[in-house]
Amino acid sequence: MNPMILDEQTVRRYLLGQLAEHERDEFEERLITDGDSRDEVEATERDLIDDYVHDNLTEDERARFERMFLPSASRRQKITFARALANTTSEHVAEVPTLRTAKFAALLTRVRPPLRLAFAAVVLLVFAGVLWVILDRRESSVEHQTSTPPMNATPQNTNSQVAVQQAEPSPTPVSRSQNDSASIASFLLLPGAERSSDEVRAVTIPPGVTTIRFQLSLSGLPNLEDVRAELRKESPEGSLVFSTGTIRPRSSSQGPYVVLELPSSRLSPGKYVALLKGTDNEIEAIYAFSVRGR
Amino acid sequence: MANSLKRLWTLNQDAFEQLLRVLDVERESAGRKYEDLRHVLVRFFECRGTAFPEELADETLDRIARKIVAGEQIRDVNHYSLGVARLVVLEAFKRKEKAERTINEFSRTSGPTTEDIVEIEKAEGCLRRCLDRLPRENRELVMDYYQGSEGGKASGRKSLAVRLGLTSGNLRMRVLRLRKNLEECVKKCLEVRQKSVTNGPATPLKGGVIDSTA
Repeated sequence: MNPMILDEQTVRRYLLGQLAEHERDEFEERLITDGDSRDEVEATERDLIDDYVHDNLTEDERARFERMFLPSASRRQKITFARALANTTSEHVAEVPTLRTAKFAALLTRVRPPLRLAFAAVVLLVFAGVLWVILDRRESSVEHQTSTPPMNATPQNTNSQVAVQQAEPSPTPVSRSQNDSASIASFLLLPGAERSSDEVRAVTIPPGVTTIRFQLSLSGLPNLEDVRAELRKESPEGSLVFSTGTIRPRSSSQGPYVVLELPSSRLSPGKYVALLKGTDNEIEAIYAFSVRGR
Repeated sequence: MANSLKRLWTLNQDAFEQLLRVLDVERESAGRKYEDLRHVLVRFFECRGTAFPEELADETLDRIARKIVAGEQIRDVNHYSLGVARLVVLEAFKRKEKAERTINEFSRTSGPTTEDIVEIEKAEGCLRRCLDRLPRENRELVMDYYQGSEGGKASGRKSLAVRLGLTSGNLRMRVLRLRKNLEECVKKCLEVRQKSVTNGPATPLKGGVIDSTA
């Protein structure tokens, strides 16, 4: 059998659910291994959305489009974006700056030459001043970042390059690898479920992070040997998101803690509680926090 | 996600670790491959027209992890995951009641509703801000690429490609990357606006990783 050609028309038929089953299976085999074909799908998907927004689909295509695209929230967002883009680009964007420039030029021609020179000098001075302020701020920001004292928060971490940021109160964002390609972010959670829901602390997952490591601090708790950690939605009775087997507390200069590590994609925005359970399955500590959109 | 599937088994740390080891021996790289695979699966379920592609992707990964824990030897995790994903999508379509209701609901709404129009207006405001943040040449490229009527658009894009010394295909991909960045930027902008409406203005702490005002 000849390999399927992934041209725009085939991709379009795939996205509209028009391929025969065997064609679709073959197409998906390609899709899962071939990055280029994924780009083609992404591009054709946008073209199709634009056609929908501009009412350039046939009746059948439109019906298929709505059946295939509208159920997914992320695709609905793309449609909203396409409508916004269509409205924005249909305006006379190119003419606006031209018009403004023309008015400005006309104004300048009415000004006497010495005044023009003075005006140019003022503009230059303002520009230099702004540049100086920006550079100065950037410099002090760099100084500030490098002066933050590092702290070894995750002794078992396979990524040795860990920068630590301390803040009160819990949950404290502990670390993110300094390496741009690194993909683990750590957060220190202090026990406490007494907070009202309004006071629950928010965790924002930085872009590009694939793994989240929660350090559940055991400070202030009675000595615990073997524990299990669970992550649940909303409350201790909420749906289970992630769990560990039996784990032993570790110790650091900040006191004992256990680690709960999970794929970041499992944390959608919302409220969570991490539970620490003893061998008798009793809850020993609760750590409440919320996750904000990335 | 109220009408989502009910999970019989949830990923745990041990199973997650084992799945990562199948993806790559090096932890960092395995983490990235996990996210890549998840992204491909989300797209798969999206292209099949399901309502909750992310949830189905996680269900697929859970099942793969469970198989690995049970001792199944997986040679090619990508193809294996496709097989599992096909089963998951079949099951999803069998849970028709809710899904069909959702689809029919959306099928009725042809064209934007009043709520959509409000959302589009908000998105427009965000899009302008996002466009302003682009370097001028990229901003002009996006505007030039998407401007014009349908007939004029095709010829306009051809001449734009010629002017930039690109093939039409390369231009299309370049604009796609810019558009994806803009989509992401608009999404974030809308989220921030939504948060400031519900919570008041947010004050990110140092580093912007955490916000204690929520």
